Amino acid sequence: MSGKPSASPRTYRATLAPIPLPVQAVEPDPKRQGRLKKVIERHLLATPSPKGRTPEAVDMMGLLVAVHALYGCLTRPMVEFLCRATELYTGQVYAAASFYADIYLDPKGRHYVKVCTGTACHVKGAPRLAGTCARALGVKATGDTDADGEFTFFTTACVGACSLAPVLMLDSDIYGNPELAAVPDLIASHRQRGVGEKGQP
Amino acid sequence: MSDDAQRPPDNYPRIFVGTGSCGLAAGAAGVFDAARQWVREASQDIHLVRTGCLGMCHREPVLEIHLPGRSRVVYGEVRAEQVADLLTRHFYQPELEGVPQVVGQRAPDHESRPYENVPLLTELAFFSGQRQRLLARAGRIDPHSLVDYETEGGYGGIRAALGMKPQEVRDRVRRSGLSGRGGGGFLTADKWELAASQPDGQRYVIANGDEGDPGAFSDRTLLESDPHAVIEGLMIAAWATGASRGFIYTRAAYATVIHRLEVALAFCVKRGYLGDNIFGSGFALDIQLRKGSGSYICGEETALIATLEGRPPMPDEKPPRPAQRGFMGHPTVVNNVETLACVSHQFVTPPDSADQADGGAAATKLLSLSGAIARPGVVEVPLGTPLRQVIFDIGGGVGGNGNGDAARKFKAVLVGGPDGGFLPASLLDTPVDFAALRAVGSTLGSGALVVVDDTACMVGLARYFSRFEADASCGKCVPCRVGTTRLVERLDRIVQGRATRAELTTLEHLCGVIRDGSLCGLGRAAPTPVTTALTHFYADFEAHIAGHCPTGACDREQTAGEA
Repeated sequence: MSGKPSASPRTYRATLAPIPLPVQAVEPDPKRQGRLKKVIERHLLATPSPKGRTPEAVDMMGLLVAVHALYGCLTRPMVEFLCRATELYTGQVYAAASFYADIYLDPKGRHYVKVCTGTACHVKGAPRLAGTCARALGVKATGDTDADGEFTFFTTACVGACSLAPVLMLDSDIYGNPELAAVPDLIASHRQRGVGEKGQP
Repeated sequence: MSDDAQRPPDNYPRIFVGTGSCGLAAGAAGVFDAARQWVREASQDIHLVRTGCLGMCHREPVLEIHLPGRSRVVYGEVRAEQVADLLTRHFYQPELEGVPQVVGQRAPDHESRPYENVPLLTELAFFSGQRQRLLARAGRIDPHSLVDYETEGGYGGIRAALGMKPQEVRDRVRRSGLSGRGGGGFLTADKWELAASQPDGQRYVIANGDEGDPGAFSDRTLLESDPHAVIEGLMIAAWATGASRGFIYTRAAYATVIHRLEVALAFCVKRGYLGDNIFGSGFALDIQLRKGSGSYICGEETALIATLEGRPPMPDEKPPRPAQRGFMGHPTVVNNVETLACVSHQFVTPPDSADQADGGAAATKLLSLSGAIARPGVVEVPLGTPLRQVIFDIGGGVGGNGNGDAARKFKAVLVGGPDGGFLPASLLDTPVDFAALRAVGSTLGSGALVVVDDTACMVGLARYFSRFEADASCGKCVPCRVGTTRLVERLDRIVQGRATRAELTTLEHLCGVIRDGSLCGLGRAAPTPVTTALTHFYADFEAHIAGHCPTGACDREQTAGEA
């Protein structure tokens, strides 16, 4: 096997048993408990193949992304809970969860301020835009949340609007080449909004 | 989900709104809503369609109108509040002269009459240098519609392939000379042959739509505009290699792509195009959609497979290649989505014309144009087109999107993402071609072209890419994990004017260690931006050693407070 790590995770259920879990520990709201269970079930055994469900049909990334979309982050209790749900070792789930830039392991602010730092945005002034945003929020680095917990600032990889570079994203709204002087007001105007769709992680 | 069962007759007037990601970012959703409102109020039957992307990112949002008996007209930079007036005018007083948003008209067919004084799209500089094959349907058809795709010859390729033996399919791909479009440029037929020759009967095919290169968005355009073409290519790959399971892998951030692929796959399953007995041939295939979440390394094939297995995406040593031992230890073919689209196009056309299609003069490559270029967008050019023609004729040369920086001069172009490094003006006559670009120390890779004008500092950009690579390094092997971080530190010193001349030599040495010692393609290519900047823009480095940045860009960045 020339040092290739064992590919198959420890065990998978062939059929779906009720998830034996302290759902309450991670989700006190009974209404949302059902939703969480549904998300897990959907990814535990993904799209059935014509020949029935197979062990590798467990979609770990899909699961992490979906649960992350529900809560905005994957806290430690949540990761441990997912381990029990999937019958995987904590290390296996945590290793995957902690690898990705767009999966957060601690809670973030209600709104996201994202500055794209892809190449096209970079050559068109993303560092200046990022500096302006960081100063407006009084934060230093990507992932920081402002003092009142409203806004979290991110620099992010390409958001796919290279022709509008440099791009600022407030939650899911995209602003192409915004005027730097207007940026603080733009951010402030989002403070009044409800918690918007933050988009996929 | 648009329902083909409720599809209006084809003789209805049709309104198309381009809803690719860049269109949506520019406000296409508002344009679509305004058009829907207008259609509701109009007292006639109109078919409102969401299409993919025409490739003209610089004219988004794009709206098209097709009246029966007339040619199809493309409008660009349409604002939501202009939609009602624009539609009223087009429907009731079809004189388009002097309407500022008119981009052009598509070539009329024999039944329809063109508009006077409106240029054909193919006459526009942006399109005249292109040869659209993979993009021929992009922006024209409804990506949510299976009928649209089949009307254009779709799923004819897999039908033709299923009439052949797998070995014949592989031979035909070999004769076409198709090489992988994702970056490596390996012969697709070699990969397929290797997988098919494995004794292990359980094989897998994977479409790699991760597209992590900053500045690359052609795969996204393809998947958003013509998802069935990729699915069909994957089906052909599965038939040719004897695989019964397939995955399409893309990034979670591409929400539009994911939605359209989900719709397309659901249609295929519903119609029996995927399942146990495809087109009555007995061929069985199941395709699942999988996603990653913000990791550059996932585009590397062994890392991608690790993700699918639920492991963190760290590359494995090759060989064994995935075609020998891949997903769950079984032979696995990983092809880029653009490669697969090429495959599906190849099998639609008659063998004679297709055989020369992907290695010879007819072959095309998708390129993403961005940065300091007048007309950013996704274009498809014949292999062998000089870079100069792509950037200056098709892309309109150096400029911003009306930023008033048209007076700036061309400085460099970054080819194929970070892996390709920078090419200076003196190498602009290099053709867009795998071998030619390799010969000048670059790579065609993902086909991203980011144009840099003379306000940019090459040392600053080299540092930017090194930081990107250091962030993207998965940390598995030392040369890449430690090396890229050391690279950033060295470049930081140079940018800040604290370095000595001797350090440039150390820098070059360090680049060599990372290139030669790293495990996977990411690490091996990581120092390319630095080495190419050193080769072509040595004077910029010397100026920094002497204590000043020739463009002032580095000073500006520092005062802006890099976040």
